[in-house]
Amino acid sequence: MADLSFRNIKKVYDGNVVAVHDFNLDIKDKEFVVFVGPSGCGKSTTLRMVAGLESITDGELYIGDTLVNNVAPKDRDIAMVFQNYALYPHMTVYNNMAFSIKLRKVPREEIDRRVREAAEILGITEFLQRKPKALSGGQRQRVAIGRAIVRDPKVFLLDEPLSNLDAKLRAQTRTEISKLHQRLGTTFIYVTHDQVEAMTLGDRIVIMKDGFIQQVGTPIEVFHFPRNIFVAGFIGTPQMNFFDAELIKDENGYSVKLLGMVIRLNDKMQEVYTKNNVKPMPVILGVRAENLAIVPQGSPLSVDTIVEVSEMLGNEVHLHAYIDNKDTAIRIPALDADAESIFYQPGDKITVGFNNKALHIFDKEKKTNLYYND
Amino acid sequence: MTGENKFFKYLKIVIGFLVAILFLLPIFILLMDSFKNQRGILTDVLGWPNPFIFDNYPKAMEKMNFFNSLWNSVWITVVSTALILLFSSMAAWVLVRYKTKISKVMFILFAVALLIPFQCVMLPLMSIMGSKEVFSITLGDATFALNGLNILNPFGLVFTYLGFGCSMAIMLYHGFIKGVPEELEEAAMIDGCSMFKTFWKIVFPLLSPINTTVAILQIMWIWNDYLLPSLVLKEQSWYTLPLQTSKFFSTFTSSWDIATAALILSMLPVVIFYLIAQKKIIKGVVDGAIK
Repeated sequence: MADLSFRNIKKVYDGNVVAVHDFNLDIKDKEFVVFVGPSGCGKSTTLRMVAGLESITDGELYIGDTLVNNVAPKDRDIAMVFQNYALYPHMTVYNNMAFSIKLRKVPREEIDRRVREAAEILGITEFLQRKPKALSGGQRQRVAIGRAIVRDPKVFLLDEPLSNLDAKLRAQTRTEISKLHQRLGTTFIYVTHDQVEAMTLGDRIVIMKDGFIQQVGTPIEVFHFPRNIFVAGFIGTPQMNFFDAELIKDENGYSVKLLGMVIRLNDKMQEVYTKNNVKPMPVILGVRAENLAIVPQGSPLSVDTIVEVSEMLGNEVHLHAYIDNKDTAIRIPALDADAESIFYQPGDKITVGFNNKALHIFDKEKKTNLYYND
Repeated sequence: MTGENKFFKYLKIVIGFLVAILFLLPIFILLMDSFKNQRGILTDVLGWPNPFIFDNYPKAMEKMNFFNSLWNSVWITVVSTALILLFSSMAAWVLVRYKTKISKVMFILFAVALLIPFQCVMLPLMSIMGSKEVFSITLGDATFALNGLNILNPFGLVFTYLGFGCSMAIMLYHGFIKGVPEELEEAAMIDGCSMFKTFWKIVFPLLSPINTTVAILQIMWIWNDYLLPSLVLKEQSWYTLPLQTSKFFSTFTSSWDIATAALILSMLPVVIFYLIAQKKIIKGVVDGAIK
């Protein structure tokens, strides 16, 4: 069993710098949890506390049923993959992978079997007698993962393991890590600042900022129901567009008023807002780029604007234009219904249409999503 | 290759030769003189030996008790250097990795210690190492006296070399260890290493370039040192090679013929060691420079 339980975990560095505030989380056995957030949000510190590389200032950390606050890293039955691989340069790949189990006095034949098995899984058998400096970045990362596999730990900790790889290799290794998790059936905790990695890998995502947890949820939850503006802006590419708007309520129910348009909220939101008894108020309206569309001029719920930047990504186009004096991203397919390229140039006049299907409405003052009764 | 490039290439070779001659010429003169008699040296220092005499070498070996003093020099140098490498690398690692106020103060002390000339501490050091009373204090009827450590012997010399050598060694290690990624040690701790094992199995092997640099500097200093052994080593049987060679020079006479042979003999072991370990030493120095 490798459940993890964080209870009111706090980390304070010298000089009263609080890196992690009151961190509470339960991680289930075999779960893949991703800590994500910008630099300095406390995600790596939290992971290092799990590893035992940072002391815990306050709170309790359980691995299984054991309180591990004062347990040495080597006795926690964890394995960690570091951002810069941390392979021992003076040892061969084989010895790097065998090092931890050699220290545990595992019989030689067993060591050999486990190293070769891990090498087979990761496709690094042919490099076993090489030194790390004779390997490419991707191969080194595999060795680092292999070193962790050989341990057969209760918990895998991965600290931004793909950051040093190029984009193609990163995507490839990401898939492999996902497969590895399914194959090993072990608890994984993964730290990244890349929200794409978080979304694609995690069973659950923990989004952090300034040492506080902003939201814990499945990728779908955090994407479609962000708890606050930070989460809404952090998850999703391009970043969600935000507009100053006003939430109004009349006999038809709740609507949001933006640039003279009145957009009636969908039935689901009506139901939740009514249940939460949300009061009309100034709000921030969040709309993702893919929920805006180019529509014919004069369409209802639309705004005329001018293209500032057009980014062609092959399968889609990201347009940037000013709406309500804010840089707004609009994501459109690269081909129309007749498979003709859709192409806009800076300076082109466009009409951007809104709809009520995927609106996110945040309290302007508290920056929280009105969907939640916080 | 353009003409200008060719010119600079040859110029570099010529300058290299001139510098090599500048360094090797004194040794060559010494070698030539070691095959001359006293008269031959005094009449023609730079000339070819005439007559060519081999007698100086057996005489020098006998007079300086060569094998005994060679053994003294070798073990004192090897043990002192090994201890300096061992303790300085461990101390520097702790000073780099454990940033406390005490560690900062200690590092500054080591740095400052480098600036103190040996001559300043020579006399108090000898009184501490000797057997006599260093100081006494009388309180009422009672007198408390502190005697010296009574270590004016080769072991005391090794201990003193450790004290004098570790400052510079710690400074060199400190700079190098700062460049060793801390993640390696963290990975080792997670893998199951204690602090001691982390140092021995992971950190120390990574220090080999700087180990070479520190070892060369220490060996050069200890092997050739005259002043400290002359103060510490009281008995003739403990004498190192530099002390023995000094026998040939006295206030009124100098036996140049035997002295030159003795100097060549005392130089020889280090030269042989260098020729054997040449590749490794150069690699170590270069790696240290890159780091």
